Amino acid sequence: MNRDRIITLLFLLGSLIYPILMRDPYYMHMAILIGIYALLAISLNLLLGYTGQLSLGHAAFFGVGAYVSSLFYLNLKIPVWIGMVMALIASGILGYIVAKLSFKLRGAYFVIMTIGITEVLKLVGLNWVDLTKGPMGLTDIGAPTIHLGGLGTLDFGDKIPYYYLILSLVVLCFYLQYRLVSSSYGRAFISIRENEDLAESVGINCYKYLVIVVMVSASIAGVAGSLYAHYVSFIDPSVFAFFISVNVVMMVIGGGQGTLMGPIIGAILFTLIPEWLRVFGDARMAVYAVMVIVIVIFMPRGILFYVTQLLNLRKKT
Amino acid sequence: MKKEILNIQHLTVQFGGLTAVNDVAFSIFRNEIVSLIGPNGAGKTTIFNAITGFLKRISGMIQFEGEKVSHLKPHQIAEQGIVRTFQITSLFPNLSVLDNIRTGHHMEEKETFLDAIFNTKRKKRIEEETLAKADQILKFIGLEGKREVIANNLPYGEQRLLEIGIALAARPKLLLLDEPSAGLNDTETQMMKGLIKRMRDLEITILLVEHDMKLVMGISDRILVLNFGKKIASGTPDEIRSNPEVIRAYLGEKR
Repeated sequence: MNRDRIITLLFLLGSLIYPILMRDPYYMHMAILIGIYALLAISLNLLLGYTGQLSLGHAAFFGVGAYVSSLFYLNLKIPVWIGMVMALIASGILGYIVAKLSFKLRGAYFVIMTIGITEVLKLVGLNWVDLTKGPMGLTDIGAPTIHLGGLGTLDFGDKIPYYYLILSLVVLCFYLQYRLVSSSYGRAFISIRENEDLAESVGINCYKYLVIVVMVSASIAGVAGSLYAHYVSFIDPSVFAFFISVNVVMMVIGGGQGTLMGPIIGAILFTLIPEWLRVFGDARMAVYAVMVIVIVIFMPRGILFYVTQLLNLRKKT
Repeated sequence: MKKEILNIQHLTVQFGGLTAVNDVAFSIFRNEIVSLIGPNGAGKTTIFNAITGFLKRISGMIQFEGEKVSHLKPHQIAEQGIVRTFQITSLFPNLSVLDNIRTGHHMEEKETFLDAIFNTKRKKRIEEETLAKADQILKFIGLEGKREVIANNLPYGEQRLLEIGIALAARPKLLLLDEPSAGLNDTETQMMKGLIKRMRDLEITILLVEHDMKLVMGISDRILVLNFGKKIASGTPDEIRSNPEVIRAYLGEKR
């Protein structure tokens, strides 16, 4: 077993026993947020880390997932699970449309398109009052439940079951990412990042693979949105906020783009750092911004890369 | 009877007001090595770009194995069996030598999306086969000792070999080489020459753009000469060497 695998398993073990060690609701809350952000970061990493395409609109897929899932639950009273699947499908379809429209051109056009789509969706959320209740938002979004036959009902409204639900989805998406990346799909994604002309000239249909990657990425982000909605039980158009998209980009780049663990490490750090910085009071976000800039300047390849280098150095000496 | 593999008629490419390629016509026959030469700016690379679908607006007709390919996208043209290399070293820089080749194998049998996610037996078998094929190619280009080296860290000469390896992985019937010996020293050029000949032995037809006249003369069955976007001569190396128009194009007018 190689080192990466051991570290990944230790991580998993740590996350499994975390609720036993940290019973405090605040710590559970942070862990759940980290999980949701980890899903978003994995989702963006597939796109940004492997195919090299920057999306500044991942909040669009996140928000659509949140709204679709909530609306299905509130209006049709169907089980949350089906709503989550609907969220996955809806954001996947949105991803398909965005990719089809924007990848006729590359680079900046895709970035602008993703920003634009997010803003449009935010306006829809604000103004389609009949459906979304506008700025009032949707309330009383229930948590999923599982009926265990004679044993009663497992209610995910509690933090600990919800934590495990999110953890299992993070593990699932992590595995999906791993499998995808280590297949010919992954090689096609990476070839687009590395050298698109050469990729085309050996027969890789870059456009097709970009559409696939955006669909997968958007679907995962949609699930993250759905999980968020059923966790906080209230959403408003701020789920389409620009800062969510930017945060996720930060996590992927800061953690280590194009690596398996990078997005997870990014999600942990960039969720916790703002919390730790509360000691700075009103200056918190300013200090955070400076930290982000410092990280990007001194660790452009992501924290994971430099940590791995340190570990390798120690091994050699 | 020699069989035609590529047929180009009335190929014209314009960039704004500039006519980069002007009504060029030529054919290439199966298993030939044909060189395309001419002074800088003569339109050689433009012809490559036109054949491989990298230029959208071209007029004229390009037929490959009897079928029109001039409306296809680059990856579709690769599927037909035309693969190219680039004038400026063009690799997947951050991948290992092995992964460069494996990426080149993209058109071989592929797993489905579900195969990839569930890591099925079929996927594992395909991965193993791809690995074996990649190793063959590494041996063929002489980089079998460098499997795990990151392409960017290879010396320049080996990078050029790897480029050819990537192209070979795509199983070309017609291989377009854009200045493969540019920047190579004499020994490396000799190796490249040997490699090109060995590729021909694999029944790959080769169209070569090259400035190294010794290489061109030593290896080509036929040579096409371009100047200012027009074909000014074609023939065997000996015919080209004594062609007055070619001499004029390269050395200028006698006063």
